[in-house]
Amino acid sequence: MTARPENFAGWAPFRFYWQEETPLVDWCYMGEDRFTQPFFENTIARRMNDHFSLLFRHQTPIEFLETLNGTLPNISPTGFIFHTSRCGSTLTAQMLAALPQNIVISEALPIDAVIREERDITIDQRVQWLRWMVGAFGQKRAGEQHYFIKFDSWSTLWLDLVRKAFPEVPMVFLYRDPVEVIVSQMSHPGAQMIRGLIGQLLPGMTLAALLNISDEEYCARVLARFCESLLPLAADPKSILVNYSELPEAVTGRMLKHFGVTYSAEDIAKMRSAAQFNSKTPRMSFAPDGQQKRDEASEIIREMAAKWVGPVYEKLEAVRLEVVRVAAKGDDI
Amino acid sequence: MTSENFERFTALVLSESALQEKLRSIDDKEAFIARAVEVGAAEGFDFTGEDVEAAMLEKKRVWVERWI
Repeated sequence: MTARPENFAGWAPFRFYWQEETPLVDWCYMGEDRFTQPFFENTIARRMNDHFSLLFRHQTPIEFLETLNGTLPNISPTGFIFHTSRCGSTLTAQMLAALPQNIVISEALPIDAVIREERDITIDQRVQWLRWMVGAFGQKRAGEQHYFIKFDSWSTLWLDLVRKAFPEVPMVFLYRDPVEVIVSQMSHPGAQMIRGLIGQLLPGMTLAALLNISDEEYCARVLARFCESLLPLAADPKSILVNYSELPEAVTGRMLKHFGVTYSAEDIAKMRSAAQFNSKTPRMSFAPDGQQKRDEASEIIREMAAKWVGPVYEKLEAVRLEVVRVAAKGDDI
Repeated sequence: MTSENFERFTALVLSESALQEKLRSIDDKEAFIARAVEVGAAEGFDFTGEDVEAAMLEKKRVWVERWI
């Protein structure tokens, strides 16, 4: 049966995949559920506990998303969040998601799949698919006004593609002291720390060479790549750099200003209240742990962070601090 | 009930928002299954509650496999 857009009100894509040569999208009925869990898959997993959502799923060709976006009401993206991992991006997303007027999509698998699609498709096709997929998540279901996307950390390597697809969307680049990030990754490795799982994050190195370096060095070199990918756009007026050390205040401060959104005092209070909780495990309280992580760092972590990430981190900091200085001077006038 | 029969019922539900409305927002599993049988019968499909439950288990299995 031909899919009709009106039957997709309240549905969200949850999987992009190929059936032989046909790119397809699976859809999940969201009901009144918002994407408020720390990560996309958490919300989808919760939906699978709903009997209707489990039993009934739409499946469409990806081209259907263009039809849908032109039919159902949706919001254009208000802002994008890129990050280098373990730097407060989930906290940021959770604070934004605390407000019902915000759609906040965190590390959505279908968006990542389109960005990293390995089949031989043209850049223009990739841009089009990304616009369609982002558009599908921006469906207005309950009067939402703003729409934010937090990308996966490795998406920084595809910044050019995202910028090409969305040249005007304000972007925030979140990053952190590399020693602190590597300590976190060694304790709880992310997907990007498993060599080869997210493609070849260190091109030019053979598998044997990758397996011959320590986990700390691998982590540092991947982190350096993420940071280096931010540099070309770091001074772009549509982008701002935010260091973990500025959180959570920067979310309701510099970030909202950069995104061009203004919230009431009551809404700001809700966002700050969300910052009190550990963003990944909301039953626990949040507390900045930079000093703790630096104290925990082994010698090898310090060495690898300094060798591989230090130089680019200093460059990012120089740009960020100059922007903050100029902004503060402007506020003083 | 054949799997093709239930797939046709599923496709019909997905094509009709009105049918979807009848099956949404039912928290109790037994009540959901009973409603699915009722809606199916009204549309001319002959299947049992056990058939619906089996389909749900299968969907759950596929879901878990794809997300591992």
